[in-house]
Amino acid sequence: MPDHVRLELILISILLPVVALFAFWYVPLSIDEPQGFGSDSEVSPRFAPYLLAILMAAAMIGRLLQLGVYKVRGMLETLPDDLEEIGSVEETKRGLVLNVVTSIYGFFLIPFIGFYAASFALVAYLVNRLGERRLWFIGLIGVGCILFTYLLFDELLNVRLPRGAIASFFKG
Amino acid sequence: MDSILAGVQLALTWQSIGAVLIGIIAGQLLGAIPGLTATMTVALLIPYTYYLEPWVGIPMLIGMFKGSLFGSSITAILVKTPGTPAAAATVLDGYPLAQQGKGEKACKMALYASVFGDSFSDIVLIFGAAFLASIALNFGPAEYTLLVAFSLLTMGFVSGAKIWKGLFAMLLGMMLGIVGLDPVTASPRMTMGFLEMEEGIGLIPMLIGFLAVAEVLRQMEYPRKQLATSTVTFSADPADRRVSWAEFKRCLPVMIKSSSLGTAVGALPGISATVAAFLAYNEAKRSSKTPERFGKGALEGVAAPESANNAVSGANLIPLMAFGIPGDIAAALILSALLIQGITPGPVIFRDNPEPIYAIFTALLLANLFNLILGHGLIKVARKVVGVPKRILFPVVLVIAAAGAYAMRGSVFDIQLVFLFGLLGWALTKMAFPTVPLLIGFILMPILEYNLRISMLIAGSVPNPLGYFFARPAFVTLLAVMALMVVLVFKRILRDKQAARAAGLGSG
Repeated sequence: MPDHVRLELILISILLPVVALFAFWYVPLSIDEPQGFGSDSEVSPRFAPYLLAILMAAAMIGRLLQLGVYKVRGMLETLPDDLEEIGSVEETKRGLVLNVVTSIYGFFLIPFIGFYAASFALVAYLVNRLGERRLWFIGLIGVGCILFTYLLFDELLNVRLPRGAIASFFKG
Repeated sequence: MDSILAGVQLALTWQSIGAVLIGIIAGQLLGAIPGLTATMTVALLIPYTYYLEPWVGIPMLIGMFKGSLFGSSITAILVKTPGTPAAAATVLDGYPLAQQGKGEKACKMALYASVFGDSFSDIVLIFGAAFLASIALNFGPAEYTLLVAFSLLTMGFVSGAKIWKGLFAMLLGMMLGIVGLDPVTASPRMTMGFLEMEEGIGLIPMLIGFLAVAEVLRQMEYPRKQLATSTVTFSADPADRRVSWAEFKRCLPVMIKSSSLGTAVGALPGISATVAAFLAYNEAKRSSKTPERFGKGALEGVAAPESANNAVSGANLIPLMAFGIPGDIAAALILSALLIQGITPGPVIFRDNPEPIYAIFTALLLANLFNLILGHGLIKVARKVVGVPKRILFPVVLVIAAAGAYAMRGSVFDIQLVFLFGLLGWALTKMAFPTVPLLIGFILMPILEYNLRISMLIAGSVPNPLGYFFARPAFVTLLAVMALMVVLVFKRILRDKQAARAAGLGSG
């Protein structure tokens, strides 16, 4: 069996239970049936999520059946490989680290130290990580970036970007 | 006739021309910044129009709206970061063209298609506003449901090599599209307790995350050596830097079809330029003799969404001018600017006070001309900006994307959504799921669900539910047109299969 077909099977074997969990556990838990206004509505608010979950499962089961037919006919090797362009394992690992970095920026740094300080930290870290070694240049790009954002959003558009919890702490 | 001439004269004063120019320049520059939508740029300018004459202030707004629609395509093509959601479909073929060194050609095609779409819908607006608006008013929830369901069906099946992945991505997008309050009962669905989610997932954070952040993360994975170069290299071959007459002629049928589609969609209240762009792209791909070129750098793939999304801008004014009903938020903003000036659009305005309306119509056409001229300048500036090495540009793009997402609702939650969707988009790309069906599913699902629920409620309240649908001439006509399209597609598939079989036999 080709690697890409094996990976596809693994993917479906993970996604199918996730969809089942969504339909049987999450939807009843998170969407209440209306009690007052709208309770006599023709369609329940759960209708769309259930329908979508059924269609998702049907798409995956259909694919499993299709793969089964291909296997019986001995044609699995002829299936096109769509995983060719997804990059090497090293690249994926680097991508994961970068996702963690941007998540820290969005979820912790901005709410805590504010947009400008967080953005300076992110730009400085990423520019350095991506290969720039001159410290003065890294600092210059960080300052240039936040200056541009400040002039555009705070001054020109009157959008006050978040100052963070620290600023409110010092303000008392 | 006198009032038409008086209106044209008003629009050709230096104040009015200057206002259109300022609007276009500001719109093009602001539109190129991710997160700042055409609507937002227009909204920012409205308070200032109060101090201007109507034939100065309104043309400025129109210029800004048109300029920002084109400006957003530049970043969509060169850095895969649409400035506004309306340019999201332009990414699909614009970015691959830029990767082939043909970024300038793609930008110029986007410019010509934008101006073409704009001019097309403006002419339709000027000569056929009342007629088209009366047709558009026949569209009810049943017709919207049919239109959107058909678009989703075709999209799911033509999205990529593996149909199940395209369908799954589309359904996932639709699932994300229903997060928020139920459209009929207003009970929260899948909000996970976040108040911010009750409004639904914002389109801006979603698009910025999926298209810009996911792509930047994907490219930052590459070895450092590759990141020392610029994002886009431009081919030195003059043929790759301009749109030849032959190429323009080849794209012309697509532009006419997409502009018509954009005009029709724009005349329908509630459907945005983003939807029109995706529908036009979908249709251009579906009807192409070589659909396999789409997604890999087909000029038609740039021309279709660009002419459609710009055609919406003029067509949005059709119901506004004819009946005083704004077609979308941008038209509502222009309506508010008109009301500030003491002008109430509607059928009587053509009789009682037509000069400002004809001045606005002239300004629309002037704005297209200036957009064409100034657009070339913007492309030159953009060429210089994207010449910056990736290791500098990418972190800056992330920061601007975060600021742009925040600007819309002033919520840190939207910044977090940007990075969450960036992660999701990156993960889906790693598993070779197409992201376009997901975005289309997300955009169309709220329209589909709302109209389906409303039409079912209406149908349920009459003795013969089926009769409700089939007694509507617009519904029956639409159904017949769609059935005809399905038959034509199947006929073409059969013909292609027969041709392939014949070629196989011939070669064998």
